[in-house]
Amino acid sequence: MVVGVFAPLGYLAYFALTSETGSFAFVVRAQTLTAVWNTFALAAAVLFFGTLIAAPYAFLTTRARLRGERLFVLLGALPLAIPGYVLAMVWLGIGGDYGLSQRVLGVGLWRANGFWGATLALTVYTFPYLFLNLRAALTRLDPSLAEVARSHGLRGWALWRAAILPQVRAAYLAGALLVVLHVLADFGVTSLMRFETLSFAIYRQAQGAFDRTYAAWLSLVLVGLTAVLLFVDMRFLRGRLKPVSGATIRFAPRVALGRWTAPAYLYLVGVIGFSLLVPVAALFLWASQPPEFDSVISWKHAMRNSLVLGVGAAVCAPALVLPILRVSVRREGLWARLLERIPYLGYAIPPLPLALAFVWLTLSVVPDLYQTLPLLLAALLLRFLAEAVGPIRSLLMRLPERVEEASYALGFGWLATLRRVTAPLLRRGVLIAMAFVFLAVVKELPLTLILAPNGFDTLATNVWTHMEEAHFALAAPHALAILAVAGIFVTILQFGEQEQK
Amino acid sequence: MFNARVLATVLAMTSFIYAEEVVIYSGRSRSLVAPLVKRIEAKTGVKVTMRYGKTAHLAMLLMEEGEHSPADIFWAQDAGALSALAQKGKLAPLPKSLLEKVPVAFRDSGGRWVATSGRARVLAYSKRRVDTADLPKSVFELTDPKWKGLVGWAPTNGSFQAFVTAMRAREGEEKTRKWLKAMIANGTKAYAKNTPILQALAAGEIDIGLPNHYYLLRFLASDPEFPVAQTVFQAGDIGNLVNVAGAAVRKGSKKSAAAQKVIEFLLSPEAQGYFTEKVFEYPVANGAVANKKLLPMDEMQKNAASIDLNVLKDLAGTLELMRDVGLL
Repeated sequence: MVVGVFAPLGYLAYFALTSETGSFAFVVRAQTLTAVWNTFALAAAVLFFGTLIAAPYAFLTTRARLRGERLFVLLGALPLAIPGYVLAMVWLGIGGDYGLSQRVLGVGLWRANGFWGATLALTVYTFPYLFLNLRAALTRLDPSLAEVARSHGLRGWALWRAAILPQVRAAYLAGALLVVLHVLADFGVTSLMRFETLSFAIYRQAQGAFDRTYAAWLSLVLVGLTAVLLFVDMRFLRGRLKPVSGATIRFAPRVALGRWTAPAYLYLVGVIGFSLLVPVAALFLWASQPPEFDSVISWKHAMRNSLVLGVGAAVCAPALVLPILRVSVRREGLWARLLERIPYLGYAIPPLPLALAFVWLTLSVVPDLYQTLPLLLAALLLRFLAEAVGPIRSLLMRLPERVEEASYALGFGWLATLRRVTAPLLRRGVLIAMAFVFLAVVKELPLTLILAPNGFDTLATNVWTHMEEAHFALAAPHALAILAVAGIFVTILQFGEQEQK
Repeated sequence: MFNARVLATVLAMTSFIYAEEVVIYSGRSRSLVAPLVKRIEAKTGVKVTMRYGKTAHLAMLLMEEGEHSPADIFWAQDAGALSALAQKGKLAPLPKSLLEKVPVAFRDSGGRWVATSGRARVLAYSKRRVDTADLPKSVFELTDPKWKGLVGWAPTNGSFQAFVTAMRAREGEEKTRKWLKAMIANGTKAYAKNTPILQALAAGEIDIGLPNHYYLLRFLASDPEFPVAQTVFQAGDIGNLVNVAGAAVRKGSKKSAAAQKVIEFLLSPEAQGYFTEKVFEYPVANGAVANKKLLPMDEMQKNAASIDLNVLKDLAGTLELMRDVGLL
């Protein structure tokens, strides 16, 4: 895996450094600085609004007495299944003189674009990362801390700060990191909303064939920024993340909402409306239009391929992440912490350079693997492994080492310990990690286009090919199929979660 | 046992039916050409495996793969990508019989690629907001302050970049640089691709756009009310560039005979009819007739900017210029 991360970086550095003079001046021009600034501004805004949406959502679906909790959890995860460019296309199609709202409702709305357009689309699209990570932590909240705090006379905000926040901080930071990394990497939404971020700039450079230098330079800038971010995040986590040592884990009682019940439901429905119902309604509207073209592209075949990739990656990711996290959570020291950051670097390398690096690497080392399914799966895993880190880490930190030690002391082997002790306790984190990876893989485009076997199509590549040609009616069923597949997968995972209780 | 025998028979039959098999790297989108690809197999007996992607990315991929490439045919959206690959020695020469199926203007002067269909750059405008009498006669008039903030283009789009390359070749580097700078100063809005330009025109975000000709026809096909129209600049204006999608055989392909057979099919009346009737492009083979919904072929060619498509290979120079003025 280390090779997988560092080989693409070496490849980028090679292209950047062997370029002709003058290209470095290109990197330090004013436009790049603006792009960097825009990237940070967008990330901050998306994180801010995402937190505003996700925190109450997570609280209501874990700590409050609520009907339909499982449904709200499922619906809260599904926005992750809509590809960014589809979401941007939907929001672009809603406002303006000829937008859906004008034609269907007779109300002319603001047409999403620029900074606020990008913020809107990316916030409704990424808040599930925060929500699901927070949820994983909130469900396993240790009530004894709150009881102690209360016995010391703490109430309200002070009680939260002393007893609750420290327990969810790791999960929040993990989710926040994913949101920020996602914004850093996004070019589908930013290019359609016409807001210049660094990834958008890389995408623009990569559009011109034959010259990889500029894209390589900008990619290195992006990887550098990400590395700084990862380092800062690491400092945040440092010292605050000692595994909880109490051997018993109890569940905190749920809060009755009382007169807040109606507003709470309204809130949940509102969030779902904005993030899921609006895009889904637009997709259904498109799907109901007469097809623009005689299409021979079936979604069944593509669905099978999407499932193979999604399930394959979802199963492999936790298996790859667990060993890393066991070391990084349990061991002290710089190396242990750096180890955990490696998956995030894979996330930071822009997909097009990453894909071309994979082409170069396989052709020069193992040509037989070129354009095969295992290679594509490996590349997707490398790119999305980071999504699996957060949920598993925050639970692993609450799993006292002593529990496993006790198991060993009782004579159980490592396999039995994993099966009977570790796995059940980590199950929720693992399931969320699987959901994240699955959702990311089924909508992935650039790596799939470049590394897939010849003739291999997925639902996402089909959505893309139709949207490119303005065939919205034909694209919509494939986009809805992604949602259906994602819905089924996440529902199955939820049943796994329920069993545990 | 029975199943195994059936399987063996089927396999034997398939290999008999498809005596040959080629891999096509297609920058043409699957949405548009998949029905035609089925016909290739039926008509030529050559089994075709498709790899779809963006023209520029596939060209990069071909460069990266070098001799290991599984591709036999490169089918590109744009003459620029084909010419650039030809220049780098990645394409094999095509036989004269194949090249001569299209007019000289629609093939590589070195005989390494041939056009399969044509597409024109047009002037698209909002029907509601623009009076046709006000429309500019030349793409150079779009720098007029009366269009400030009202024009949309797609700088990352391959067809747009080809248009800039053509402008550099015909009008000169300095004039092109000045035009690009003046356009930027005039608040021209940059869209990710052609489709969003058409949507922005309908939404009232811009009044004028510079896309390829077929996007509007596709919007109109599903929504006759779509409030956008298009026309061309005055005859010969560089804004009326006619570019082509084209095909070539990769140098080093071991199946060049089958590959040539496939390209020959793309120039057959059946395929040419498909491009123009279904995809709203211009046919390029000698004697083919354009879709009635399109501006007639002779009129299109009368208006077209005269340019040798081989000059489009200097994409690198165009990207350099676009970076220099801050457009990329």
